[in-house]
Amino acid sequence: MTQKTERRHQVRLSLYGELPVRFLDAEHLNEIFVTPVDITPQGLGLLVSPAPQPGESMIMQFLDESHPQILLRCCHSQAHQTGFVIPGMEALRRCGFVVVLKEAEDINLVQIFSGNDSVFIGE
Amino acid sequence: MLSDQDLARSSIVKTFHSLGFPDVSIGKSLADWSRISEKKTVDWLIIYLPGCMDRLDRAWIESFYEKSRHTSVRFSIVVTEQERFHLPILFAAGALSWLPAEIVRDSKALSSWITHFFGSILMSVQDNRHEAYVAATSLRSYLREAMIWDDLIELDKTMVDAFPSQPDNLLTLAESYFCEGDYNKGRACVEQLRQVAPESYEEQIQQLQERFPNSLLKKEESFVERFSVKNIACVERDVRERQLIDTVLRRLGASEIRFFDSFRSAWGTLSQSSGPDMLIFEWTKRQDDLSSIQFAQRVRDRFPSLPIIGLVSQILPQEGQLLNDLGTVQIIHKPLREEPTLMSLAFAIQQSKSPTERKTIEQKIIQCLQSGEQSLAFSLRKQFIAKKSIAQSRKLYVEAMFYFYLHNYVKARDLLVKAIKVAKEESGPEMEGVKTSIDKTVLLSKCLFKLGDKEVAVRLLESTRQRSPYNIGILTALMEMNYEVGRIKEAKEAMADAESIDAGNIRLLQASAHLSLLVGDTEKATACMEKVENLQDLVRRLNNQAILLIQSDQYSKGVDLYQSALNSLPTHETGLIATVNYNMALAHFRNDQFDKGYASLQSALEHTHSKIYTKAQNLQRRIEASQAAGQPLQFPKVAAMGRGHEREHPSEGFLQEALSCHYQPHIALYGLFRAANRTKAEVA
Repeated sequence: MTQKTERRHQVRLSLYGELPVRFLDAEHLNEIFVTPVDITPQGLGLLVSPAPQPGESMIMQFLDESHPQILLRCCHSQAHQTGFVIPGMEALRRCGFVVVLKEAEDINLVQIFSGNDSVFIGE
Repeated sequence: MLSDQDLARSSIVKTFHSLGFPDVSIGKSLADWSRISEKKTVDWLIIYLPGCMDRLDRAWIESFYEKSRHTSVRFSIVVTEQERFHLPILFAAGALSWLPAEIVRDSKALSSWITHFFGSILMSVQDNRHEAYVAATSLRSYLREAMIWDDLIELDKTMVDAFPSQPDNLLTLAESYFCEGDYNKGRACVEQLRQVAPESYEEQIQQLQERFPNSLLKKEESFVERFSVKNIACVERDVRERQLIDTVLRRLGASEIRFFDSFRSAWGTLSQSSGPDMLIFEWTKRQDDLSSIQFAQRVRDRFPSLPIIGLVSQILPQEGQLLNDLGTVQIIHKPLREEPTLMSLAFAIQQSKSPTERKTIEQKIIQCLQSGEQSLAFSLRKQFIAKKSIAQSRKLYVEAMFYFYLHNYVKARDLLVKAIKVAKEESGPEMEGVKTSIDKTVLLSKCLFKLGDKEVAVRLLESTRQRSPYNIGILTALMEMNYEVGRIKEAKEAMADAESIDAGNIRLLQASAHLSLLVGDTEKATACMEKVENLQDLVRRLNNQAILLIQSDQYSKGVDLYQSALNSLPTHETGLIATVNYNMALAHFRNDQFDKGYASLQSALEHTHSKIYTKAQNLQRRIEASQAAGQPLQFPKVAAMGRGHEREHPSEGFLQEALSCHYQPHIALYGLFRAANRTKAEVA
């Protein structure tokens, strides 16, 4: 129920382009490939391969080190609709992530990414 | 009943009497119809005239409902086997049903047929269905028997789009696709049906799939085939990037990939084709080539529904805005990496064909509304409204979009004002740095303009121009709006700005031709028209503008506009010249200028192969008949304006709104269904 509230309480903005970050799984530090889908001040909607399970975390590292790395927790992970199976990426999922740092309330992902030319955030 | 067959006539009359119809009138030819219909009110006309389907008599039947006094009559047609191929055209002209000539002599078979037919009408009434369902069932029986899949699919698509609240039409359409062997499209219909009405039709779907086992064979399909993306075009000069895209697309199963190393060569090829299923292009500006800004807008105007993907290395915010305005489905950054590119392209393909995210659903809804795919637009709207994560302001915008396309500009305006207000509340301090979308403002400007609040509309649109300065669509709209409010200088400035972006843009050429005609610059109008392939839209808009002028007591200005169009249209556009002459003739007649009208009509009749020729001939006949009778032909002063006519008073319900707006006149399939072979014949 808590997770559900987390998912729904903020308006999501559409997000595309390339985020100036790389994602690593928190346990083995392997790179995770993503395609951005939407964003809220404290959350990201991403297509992820290989996808984590809800509750698992991943690290978001800024390529230019302009910000300290941010820990994100997967709050939902779902298979995409029928027919969306990419060859070689069978573990791909549409996932929602939220910022889990103690200072999460001070982080605003929308503001961080909206200043970047390679990222397009739309109402 | 009109028939020259004595036996059939007596059999039909007998059968009808036995079924309790007391009043059956008889005529022997089409000419008798006037006599019968003048004497009494007729509900149902049955025509059985073997051999009557030559051009002249078919034209009589086809123009039956053009005479408004016949709108309460329904007609059915008895046809011999040799005449059946006319049926799609006769149904497009408003026929309610057909019956085979073989059974009319057999009173038992005939009685059974009539009883069955009335049963189907009764069921239709009980189910609260439109009479088009009765006509569609009747026509479908012929099309299936004769295996005319083009017309069958056209008919079922018509029903799906005309009655979006009846999901079972999707099942019928799926069946037609399966019959034709297009399993992908059939499956897409089934999927759509499942989305619209989950579980309600599972039994019927299962039965259908049992009948067409091939419809279940999905295993061999590749990713791109699953989404019906076969033909992909890519404009990219960099060899490494091209190789990577090729690898990625082949991993997704694509085999038809065309690469272009310049926008000019890509445009040269694509503009002459029916278009690819997907376009990927780099965002760049090079000398001796079109720029991305020019290419993307030309492509969008030529292929409004084509999914486009931008490959970007550096981009200005205004260029990003343009990509957004053009409905770009994905932006991928260069240098490309294989795995993220694979994921992004796959996601873009899936979203463009079967959208599940906010932005792509919106884009698809707009495309559907523009192309008249009502059913899909309505089902996507349902999906969109149900998503809790979508901002209220976007939902209001989408609702406004529906009302806009239904020509209810008051309702659309009110919703947009609310959407803009709500968007401001939603953005708040947390969303600082995110610019609100300009699409609401652009649409609001169009609504206000339609409602006569033209000054405000122009100011609003001007504000969006600053946010998206490369958008030729906004500039051409500004050009037209400025002209309308009498700011010729500003209109010309907007045109010059648009020309500085891309003087070869078709939309701009059309708008420039339009403006040049309005200001009387026939030389420039001719120059623009010569570069535009399809001038039909321009001629339609000019006609509406001339009608507006004439209705507002500016008869001579309206006629000048027609004349200026005639002076500017390329001489090979004989069909359009005939149309303009015909419309000008009507304008003259409506304003009691008989001699001038007659002269224009004669000019229209010079082009015997034009689409307007039959209408012009009919008008000529009516004039001659009225002259012979010594009674001047009466023309109403006000001409019909077609679908663009404004209505300020919304009706109560959404569906009723749709019905009252789009599905007139309510005579079987008339005005809804258009026979495919007729289109082909006209093209030929």
